[in-house]
Amino acid sequence: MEWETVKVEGTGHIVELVLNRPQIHNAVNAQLLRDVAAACAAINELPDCRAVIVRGEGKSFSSGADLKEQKDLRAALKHRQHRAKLGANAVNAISDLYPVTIAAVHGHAIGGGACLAMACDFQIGSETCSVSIREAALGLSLSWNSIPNTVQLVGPKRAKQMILLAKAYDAATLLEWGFFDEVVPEAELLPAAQRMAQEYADMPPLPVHMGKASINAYVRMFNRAVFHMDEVGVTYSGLTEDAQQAAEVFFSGEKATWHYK
Amino acid sequence: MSWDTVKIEGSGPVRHLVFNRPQVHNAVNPQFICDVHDACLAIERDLTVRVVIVRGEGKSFSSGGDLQEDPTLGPVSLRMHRSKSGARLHDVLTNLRPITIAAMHGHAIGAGVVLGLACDFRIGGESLSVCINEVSIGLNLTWSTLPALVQVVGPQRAREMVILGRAYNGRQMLDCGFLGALVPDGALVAAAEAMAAEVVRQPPIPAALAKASVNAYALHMGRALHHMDHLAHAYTGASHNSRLAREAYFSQDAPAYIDE
Repeated sequence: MEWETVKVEGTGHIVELVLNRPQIHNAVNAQLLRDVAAACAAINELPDCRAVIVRGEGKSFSSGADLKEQKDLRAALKHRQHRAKLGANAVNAISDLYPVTIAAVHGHAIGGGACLAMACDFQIGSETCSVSIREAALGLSLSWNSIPNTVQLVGPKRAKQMILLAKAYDAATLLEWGFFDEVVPEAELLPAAQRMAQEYADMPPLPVHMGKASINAYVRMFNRAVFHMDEVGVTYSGLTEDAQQAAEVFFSGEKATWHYK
Repeated sequence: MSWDTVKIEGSGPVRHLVFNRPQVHNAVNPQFICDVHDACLAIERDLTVRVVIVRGEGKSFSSGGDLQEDPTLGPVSLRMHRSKSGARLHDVLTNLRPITIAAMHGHAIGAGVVLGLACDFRIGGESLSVCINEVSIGLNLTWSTLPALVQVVGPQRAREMVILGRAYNGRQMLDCGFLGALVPDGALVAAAEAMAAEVVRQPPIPAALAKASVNAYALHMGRALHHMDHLAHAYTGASHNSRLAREAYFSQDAPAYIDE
């Protein structure tokens, strides 16, 4: 099955949800967010699917927000809010997939790209991959209902480090922190994901379905409610002069002085 | 815009989402669930829409699950699947960005009641009759609806409606808080449009945020507590007594339940 920026491969017990903008490192734009949600809806209709591997075509998992599109968003508030909602919808669509989900992360997983990976049940990384949640460095709050996902993956303290300092972390560190369940050489990434997927697919399907749904319901009970203002947070922070300056110095590397305006 | 069983009318900030199976009192079948879901997604994408009036073409709002389709039939996965697709629709409609006003007349039965409950406001026409008949036909009330019902009418009335499967008229539904207003059938659409005009007079962003916050507070436990609704739906449908209850519902004879 194919959409403009995403494809779903396979029809048996294990399918792959593939981010498919390899020419720009699977940068996330509105179309990709819509396509991810649509692909997840389609996967939930597959009667035989028991596990989903989420991966990126090309050199990276996903380099995050398409910065070309970001410039257009200096437009209407409602468009910025809507865009943030699309992000939350895509992240929640992945989390709400009935089959077990495994993110296979190679290259870069940045910002919104990291959010898509964190939405899965399990994460496997390549030895050379790098993950960063860079929103704060751009003067933006982390939205897309992804704060709880980060906390649930690595605990509150590491989540604060990752989100508030906006640094990039290597695979070894993330394995130690529990972000990754396994780290393997890049050539072995997909086979490792397949092996993990097969373990879940080999179990009786009803208890696997019920167990995942119940664990998620319990752990994620407050996710949408507590974070329902996410889209306001990122829209408002994006209006600040600090965010404007951050976007300018992000590429120049100059040191900025923040004014809380 | 139109689909097989649903259409969207109007342009500008106020639209009508119209159930369009009048020949069967807008009974709910898989096509209907799919079409209403797709109509909601179309509305969600259109940032010019601020209010949606949800109503039924013909004599009724919606008579609920199409009883021509026996929900107790089919493998477990199919029975669960039918219930899950309804839950997804309920979620999308409940959390639709625009404010929703259900204009309800004639019959609202089972899933038909649920569709009205998923809206922010409900205005009734005097011909309205409301009945939650799921338990009476041997099933649980599914689509993660119970929390919303309890929020709207309180636990005691919710138990009465769901356990006993009673039918209620518009006056009773107004008194218990299910309806916000009750008007003659002929004035129903005008009343909904008047309320929609009130909404449009308010600034868009604060109005939309207030809806999101009320829903977050009032309904967040619902999804978690009822995440196994679809399993319960398959489970209740699998019992022999469920079949007896359905037969009795149509024949009006007293069911002779067995010891299950």
